[in-house]
Amino acid sequence: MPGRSGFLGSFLRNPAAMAGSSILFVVILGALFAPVAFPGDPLDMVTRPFVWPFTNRDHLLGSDSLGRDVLAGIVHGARVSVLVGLASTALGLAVGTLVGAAAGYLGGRVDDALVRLTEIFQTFPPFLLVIVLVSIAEPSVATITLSIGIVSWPTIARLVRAEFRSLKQRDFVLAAEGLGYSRLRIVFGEILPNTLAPIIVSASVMVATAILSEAALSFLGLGDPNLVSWGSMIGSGRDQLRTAAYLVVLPGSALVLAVLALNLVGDGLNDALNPRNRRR
Amino acid sequence: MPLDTSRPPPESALLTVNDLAVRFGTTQAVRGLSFSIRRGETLALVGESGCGKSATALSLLRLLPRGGEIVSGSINFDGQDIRTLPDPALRRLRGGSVSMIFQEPMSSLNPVLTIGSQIVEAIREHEALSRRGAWARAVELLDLVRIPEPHRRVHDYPHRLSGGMRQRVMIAIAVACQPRLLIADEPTTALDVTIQAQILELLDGLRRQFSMSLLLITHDLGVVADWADRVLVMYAGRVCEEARVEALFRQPRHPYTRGLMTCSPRLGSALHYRDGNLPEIAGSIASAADVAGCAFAPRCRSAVAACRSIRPEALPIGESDHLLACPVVERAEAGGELAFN
Repeated sequence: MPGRSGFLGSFLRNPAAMAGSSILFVVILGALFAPVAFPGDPLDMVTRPFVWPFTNRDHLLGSDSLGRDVLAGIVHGARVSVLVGLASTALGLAVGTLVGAAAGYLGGRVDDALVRLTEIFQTFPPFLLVIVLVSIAEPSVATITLSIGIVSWPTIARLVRAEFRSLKQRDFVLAAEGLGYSRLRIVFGEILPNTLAPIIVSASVMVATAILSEAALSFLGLGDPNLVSWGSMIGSGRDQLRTAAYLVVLPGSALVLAVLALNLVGDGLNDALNPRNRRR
Repeated sequence: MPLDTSRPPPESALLTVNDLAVRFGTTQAVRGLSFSIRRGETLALVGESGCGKSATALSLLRLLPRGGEIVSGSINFDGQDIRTLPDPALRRLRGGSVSMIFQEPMSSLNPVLTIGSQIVEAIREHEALSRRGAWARAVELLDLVRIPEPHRRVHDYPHRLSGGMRQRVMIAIAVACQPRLLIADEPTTALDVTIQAQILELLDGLRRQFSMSLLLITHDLGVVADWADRVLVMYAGRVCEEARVEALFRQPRHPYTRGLMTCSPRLGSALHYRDGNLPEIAGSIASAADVAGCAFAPRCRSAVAACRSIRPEALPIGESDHLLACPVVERAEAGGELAFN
């Protein structure tokens, strides 16, 4: 990565990026320590229904219509969101990078075939495709992750392909060939490191999109029925919107904050990784 | 093409190219080029842009870009036929026994890797050396190409180095595995004049130190006069004249060589821009595209009618290793008439 110290310095000086990172840190902390902080199933009834937030010391954010602890739900929901967000992005990145690198570097017929494949995936509205895939399979974290990963790789593939097409013309690639490096080594050791900046930036936005998709699925009742997620909490609180708005507002806020944080981090990474924006 | 395949390569030839032809699509870049490089010598390949110098250099390691192909001829490096060498052996050769440095030092280094790691990679591609050992060698190499404070510079990214320094790094990478042939494709064209001499002096020093042969591709006759042992003057993908450097500069024979020499301004010569324009060779190399006879004839002042129909071959004249592809000059020198009869 270009100028590690310059990159870190630039990221640390960016207040928005730091705010985003802090929120993200809290979300991940919640995801990691949920079973410790709130042992037991967050779907269990633990108190009477409709305890308002900040009225009961044991249930700080109150309880829902079935007497389930809202705070426990939000913290455990972070687990699902982080897991689905990261895993589906990792899947999308892996497939997208491979397809994009192969298409961009090899060109010719391979490129034609892979671009057609990418375009086929892009003709479907992504969320509709997720819904179709999840409803075909049994709804679980694994199938949801897989479905979101399947709809998200084309974006990365197009990005990586474009980068590879311009980078493979550069002199350092010819120089690497002149040093006897194998094609695989040139692709992964020489060209790929040059595409990391845009890939990392779009990955942060992909995580945010994946979290939103998971929430939307759960809201529609297509999520994993055995797990609590922010989307399912909003979905089940929707009926009490006029009487107990906090049931929608609290998990909704968690969702907004997490997605906002990811976008802020993405912007910060974009500025920090772009050498033209870096102060020297 | 029946060129002079009869000429036996010198005993000590490291690289022998015979009747090489290179094509880009429908454009012929090199049309039957033969030459050889002896062990330890510097051969300069001279010619104007578009005469096939770089295409020749790239084809020596089969590095031609997509669309370019070697149509015919043979390239023999130390007993190996490069044209038919299988890929793994070719990769061992590239960067191992034969290295190449390019014209643009600014873009020939990978911008996201430190120069140290790029040197280390090149070493470890060809030699079984530990990472630690390779890093130590990288520092030595940077010292060898006279980069100050090499132990600190190894950790720098290319953008922190000047053009001259980057070309030094490229040279360090090229000589990392002690090649026997170094191909330098216009190594100083993109650099300041003051840096040019330093880089060429460095290359010449390394050539002596490692007993390498050097193929120096350039359009700068000043560079040729100072650093080359032998010169090959190319025009439109063919040899015009090949000679030892002293002989060529003492008495250039081919009209094109003479033209090139009068085109170069010389320090101390009486010519000043106020006195008139620098002489030039009229026309452009494109006009030589597919003439039947001598490719230079359309631009040549000594051309006779036969020049446009009969293709001249590079034949030895006078001293044994002087080749000339111009029967008109040859006959004139032999006291004959200025024409084919």
